[in-house]
Formats: sequence, structure tokens, C-alpha cells
Amino acid sequence: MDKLPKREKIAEGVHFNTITDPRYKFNRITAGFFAPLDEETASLYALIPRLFHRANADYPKSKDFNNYLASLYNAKSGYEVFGTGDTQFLGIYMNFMDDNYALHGEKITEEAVKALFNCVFNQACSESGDEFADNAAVELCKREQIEAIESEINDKRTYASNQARRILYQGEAAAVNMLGDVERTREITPQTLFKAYQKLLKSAVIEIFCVGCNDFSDALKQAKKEFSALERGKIYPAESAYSPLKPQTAETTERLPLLNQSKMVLGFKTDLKGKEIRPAITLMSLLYGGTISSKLFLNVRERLSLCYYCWSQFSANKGVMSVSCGVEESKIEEAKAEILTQLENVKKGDFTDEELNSALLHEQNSIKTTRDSLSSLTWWYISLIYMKDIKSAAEILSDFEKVTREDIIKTANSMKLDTFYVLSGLESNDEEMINEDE
Amino acid sequence: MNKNIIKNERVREEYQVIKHPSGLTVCLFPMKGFSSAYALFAAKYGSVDVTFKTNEDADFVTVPEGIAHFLEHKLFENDQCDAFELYAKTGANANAYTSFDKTAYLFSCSQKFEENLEILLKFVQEPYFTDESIAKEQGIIAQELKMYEDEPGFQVFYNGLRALYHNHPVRIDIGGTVESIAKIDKDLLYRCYKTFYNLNNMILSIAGNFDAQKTLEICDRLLKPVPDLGLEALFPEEPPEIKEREAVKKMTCAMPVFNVFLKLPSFEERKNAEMFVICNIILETVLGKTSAFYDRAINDGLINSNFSVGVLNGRGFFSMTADGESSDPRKVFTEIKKALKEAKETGLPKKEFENVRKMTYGELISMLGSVSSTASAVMDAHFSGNNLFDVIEITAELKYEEVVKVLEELDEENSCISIIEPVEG
Repeated sequence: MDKLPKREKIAEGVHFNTITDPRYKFNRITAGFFAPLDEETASLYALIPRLFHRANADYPKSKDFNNYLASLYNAKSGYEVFGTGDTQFLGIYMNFMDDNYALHGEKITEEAVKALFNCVFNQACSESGDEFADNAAVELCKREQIEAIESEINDKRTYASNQARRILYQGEAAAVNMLGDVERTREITPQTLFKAYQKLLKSAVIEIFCVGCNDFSDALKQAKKEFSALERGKIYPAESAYSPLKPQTAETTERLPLLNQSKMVLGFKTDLKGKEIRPAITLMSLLYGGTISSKLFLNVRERLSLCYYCWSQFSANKGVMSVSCGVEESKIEEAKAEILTQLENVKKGDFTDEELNSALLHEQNSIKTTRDSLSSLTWWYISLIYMKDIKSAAEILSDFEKVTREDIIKTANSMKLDTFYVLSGLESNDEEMINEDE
Repeated sequence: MNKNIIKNERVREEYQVIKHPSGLTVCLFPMKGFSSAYALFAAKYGSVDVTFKTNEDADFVTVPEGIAHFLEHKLFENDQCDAFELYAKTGANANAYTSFDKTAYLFSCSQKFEENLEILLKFVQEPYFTDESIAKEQGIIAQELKMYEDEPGFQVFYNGLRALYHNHPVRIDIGGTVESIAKIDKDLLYRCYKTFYNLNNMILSIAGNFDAQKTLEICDRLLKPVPDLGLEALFPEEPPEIKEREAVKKMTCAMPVFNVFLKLPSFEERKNAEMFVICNIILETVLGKTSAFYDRAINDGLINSNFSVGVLNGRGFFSMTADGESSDPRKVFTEIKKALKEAKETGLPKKEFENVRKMTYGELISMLGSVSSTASAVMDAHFSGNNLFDVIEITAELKYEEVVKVLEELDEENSCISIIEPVEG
């Protein structure tokens, strides 16, 4: 972070990034693909890393691949699928111990790098070469994806936040579920999946990101070899647009059976755009509700005892600040009023220099701590790359230090309430009906 | 001051364990090249410690459930200020947590380490409770408890422990209940504080980027020496058998979630560490991602990749666990028992065992790449009477025959399942 990652273009829209630091005992390589979030392709694309991280042509059976990875001292093959603004991010990564720590001198790095590239480029295909060979594995991944989509409701905080997101971004790409939907997942075949894979390899912005104590020169050679054989076409744009403010606040209450605590999400939108304004909005959101010394924590939780959690976070890609909390249903209005009052206080400049400084210190700490974790460092830089704002930590810290109280007031005043979403339990009469049905 | 250097040649790491004159054990693990430091000031006091005595008490006393967790919330404020406000001036990321058998106050920071350490040591040693602040906290904690009541993952876990244990307080939710926390008053808080927050019952564990010498100077200045009160926690006698075979609850969720527990007797110190490693290796080899059971169950659609296995151990409790989602959790339970029985009869596959052993070793090494994991592991090892490297050495030196012996003695029928079923509607 003190220095920028070593970044090399290895094909059209494909970059190889390296950070080498001897302090680490592990290495991590991520192959990340950016595709536009689209309901027609989201289910297909989401299935690709889910399928790929579990086997490859050398180890077509998942059990054999898992045993092979275990023999490499718990080399971990994992995947990540998430929505970042209007973009779907698809990543396959390999996390592995450095050769220095092997009990019997095994060459872990070489094997792990090979395994990752095999997962991305060398999956077993049918003889015709136009579909994945392992139909059973595709079906298994489809089932898991459907279960993951349906299980969203298990975690009520996540469910509430996703429901609010769907309302906030109605009609925009960002409203699409990062895992797609059940119907489209059911329709996937080994052939349609293979076509989607080819499309992704041809059109996605691809970032290979390596962090660890290795110099990754062998990984670079292998990546160059793989991508030189690849025909790249028109590259998908990897970008997000600010979300427009609704003419009228969207207010929604959803009810679920057997819920003990209501969840509330307030979504605010700003029209202040540009890289220059991001540090100010981020600090404003931290001062308002992002830390244990924020206005929301100290007032909604500590002074009024209304909530256990109540926080705000800012999505720089979409220009949206959302506030989430869990609260007794009878106290929803009181909590909402306090959340809005505290935002008004920030808008009026009713905060001390100390509060602003606390937000700044919090952000400084969080940035500096990022470099101690391979995964945090990876996502930190991938986010910067996505926002086309690659800077060193020192430059970013300096941007934050320049934020003034006037900037905070200005950014707070730009926030307009767009969405108010509540998740509550069914009314007691409805609960009784459910119990009778059982 | 009694200082020991704990070294390990295999991983080329070392840390200091200091018995400070105040009674506190201070463990310092500087990590070169790291930007941040992570500090834990922790008491060997968790939700299971509801019956106890010191040499100042005539007899054992039993207190309402949830006090350890309540104290954790309350210590952050005293009559002068709120610790969060002080941390706000340094930018540290501060928090605390209570588990079954410990309470830990922590911060991570990349700057102003000494200031943060002073805040930590001061506020944990300065309890201040009023009726008003207790009433306020009862409201906040009630919301925390209600939040967990809506989470199937928490409910399936705690219901399982209630089916597993007859009497041991691990069967009680860490935070207590809305009813039990309503009984908490300042006298109870002060009594429990005085009993358990005795420095002889605590540890300061720090890892990462910090100056060890300055740290000890701060300890000398701020730690208040206290006599060892000879604390004894008492656990009710626990029958070796499970209490109930099955616990079922309905909640709003997409598909059934389950948690299987296999009950074992509890172990002390080195034996506990050995059994932790061995039982984890048995679970991973027989039921984990490299096993024939996992391959079959996932391909048959019986489980999905959220399935995981582990060991839950602490003072007076030890169990092997498996949890996940399934449309037929009872069948998963039957298959798990069958797989364990088969492994006992046919023996563990040697190659898979060796791979899992390497996997476990790799996982332990990865822990040393994180300041928070390292400081936490040092604390855990100390509270269980071991040092950080014991588990690494046990894993590196473990023999196949030792694992087989433990497997052969397992009673897979001494197990229970907790299920959360989706409510219709």
C-alpha cells in the first residue's frame, strides 16, 4: 500500500497485479472478472466461479481436488460473487502457504498457481468441445445456487438490506441479485454455461491480483501464456452510474412470520459526483453513523437505548448512503425520527471538530490496517481499480486529511431520503392463523 | 517480574510470557513488518461461570445468567467518560466480546498504540455502575438478544447445546435471557467484577506492531496489584449421556438448518489441546470436504457446501459438531453416525488422514499471518493451560495410530441433532 502494486497489461482488458512483501507467510492469487449486472446473465455468470473453484481437468472430481489441495497444506480454492454498484464481480482465488514453511520441502507455490489457472482455463469439456463434461457437477452447483438465493431470508439483517437495495435501485442494474434468480438458474445447461464462460473470457475486464511473499514471476509467465492463446473481443464496460433520486420517498413495510425484532433501512441519495468528493462523503457517513463515536451510535443506541446496532454506510459507486438498524416495532417511528434528526444536525454543522477528527482517525486506522491481511489488501486494490482511482495509501490518506467541516456540511445537505423500508413480524392475528395451520 | 520466551523453531517465531507483579499474565508477540497491533485484555470469565466462590466467600454463590456479557457492555463507561469517546480520539477500532468461558476487551490500531493501551487498561480496571446506566443497558441488550432470536444459525446452535447437556451452563445463551438480565443490579455486577476481574484471572495478549518495552512500562504504571483470591468456579455434575436426541424449532427460513453434536467428556490442559487437534482431524477426515461421506452427501443433494465440522470445547464441555442446511436433516444425522461407525470398523484412510493433517497444520500457520488471530490464539492457549505453539507441534508430530485410538473409543450414538424447520406462511 505504501507503493502501488506492480501492474502489467497482459492482454486487452487484462492486467496482472503484484504486491510482494516478505512479512507474509501465505500467498493469495485472485482471478477477478467484471461483468455488467444483468438479470439475463447474472445467474449464468454467478455459477461459473462456483463450478470452477471445485475441480479442473487434472482433478475432475471435487473429492480428488480437495484432497490434492489439502496435501498442499490447506491451499484453499475459493470463489467470490458480489455486486459492486452496477457490476457483477466474479472471482476465483487460491490461498496457499509459502514453500518456506512446508514440513517436507514441498513446492506448494508452483502447484497452487497451476491449480488456479487450471480451474480458470482448463475445465473438462465434452468431445464436441461446446459444453462442460460434468453435467452432474453443473446440476449440483445449480442446486446450491438456488438454495443460496432462497436462503437469503435466513439472515434477517441481510435480507432487509437486500430488499431495501432492490427498492433503492429499482430499474437499475444494481437492483439485480448478484446470484441471479431461481428460474434462470434452473434453466442453465452445461452448454449455455459454457457459452457464458466463453463470453466472459472474451469480454470481461479481468484482473489477476497476487499478494504475498512470493515474487509471482512464474505466475506471470503462466498467465501470459494462457491469455496469449485467448481471443479477446469487445470488452464490457466495468462501471456504475449514480442512482437517481425518486420523486417521492418509497415507503415499504414487509411482514414475515415469527419475527421478534423489526429491521429498518433508510436509503439516502446524493447528486454530488466525482472522485474529489468521495473522501468528504465517506467521512460524513462515518461521523454520522459509521463508528462507535458516531451520532447514530451515541444517540440512537447509547442515549435512547432504541437499538443494539444502528449504522450508516456509503456506496461510492452509486452515491447512496444507507442506515440500517434493528428495533422494536413499537419504536420504529421514534428511531426513524432520531436518525433523521441526527442527519439534520450534521447538515446544520452541529458537530465538533473532535467528531470530525474521530471520523478521520477511524478511516486512517482502517486504511493502514488493510495491508496486514492478504484478502483485505486484494479487495482494497480491486475496488480502486474498479473506480479507476488507483492511488497509494499515502495519497488517499492525504485526500482525507484535506476534508473540511464545510465539506461535511455540504455533503450531508446533498443527502435526500429516497427509500424507507421496514421488515416486521406478522400482526398477532396472522401469527395465530399460522400456528393453527401447523 | 518473571519472563519466559516461548520459541518455536519450526515456524521461526517467538513471544514473551511475563508474570507481572500485579498478578496479570502479559503475552507479547511483536510481528515484524506489520502495520497494526491487536491487543486483548481478557478475563477467564464467561457465561458458564454462574456458580463460584473465592477465599473471601463462605460458600458458593449462584448468580443470574448473562452477567458476564452484561459486564462486558457496562465496563465501557465510568463516571468520568465513555471508553468509546477516548478511542474516538485515537482512531482505534475497539470492541469486546463474551464467550462461554472468557470475556475479552480489544482494540486494533495502526497508530497511537500506547495511548490505546492506556485506555484499555484503565477502563477495564475502573468499573462504575449506576441504576440508570444499568436500566439503559438492559434495553440495548434486550434488542441484541431479540436480534439473535431471529437468526436460525444462533437458534439451532443453542437449542442443540440444550439437548446435549443436562446441567452444564454451556446450555444457557451467552447473553442470558430478557428475564435473567432484568434481575441484574449494580451489587451483582460489582460482586462478579471483583471476583473475576482479578488480574490473577486475566491476561493481556498483544501481537503485531508495538514496542514491548514501552508496553511493560505502561503495565507497571497502570496495573493495580491485587491478591489472588483463589477463585473457584463450580459446574454441576454432568452425566456423560446426551439429554435429548432431537430439538426442533420452527422459524422463518428457506430450508431446514441443522447442528449435530457428539458429546465427549471434558479434558484438561495438554490433553484438551491434543483432543482438540485429534477430534478435528477425525471430523475432517471422515466428514470433511476430502471425505467419501461429503462427496456422497453433496452429490446426492443431502447437504450443500455450507456444511462444516468443528470442535466446541471449553471449561467442563467438549463436543464434536457438524452443521449445515438440508431438506432432510435427520437423514444427514443418520449418515454422519454411519460414516463414523464405518471409519471405526475399517480404519481411517491413511492418505486422507495425512492430507488432513497437513491441512490442519497449514491452517495453524495461516493464523500467524494475522495479528488478531495470533493475539487471540495466544490468549486461548494461555486460558487452557498451553502455549501457542503446542497445537502446532501436536499437529506436526501427530501419529496415525493416536488418532485411530481416539476414533475407536468414540460413541457416535452419544449425539443429538438440533433442527430449525421453516414455518409455512
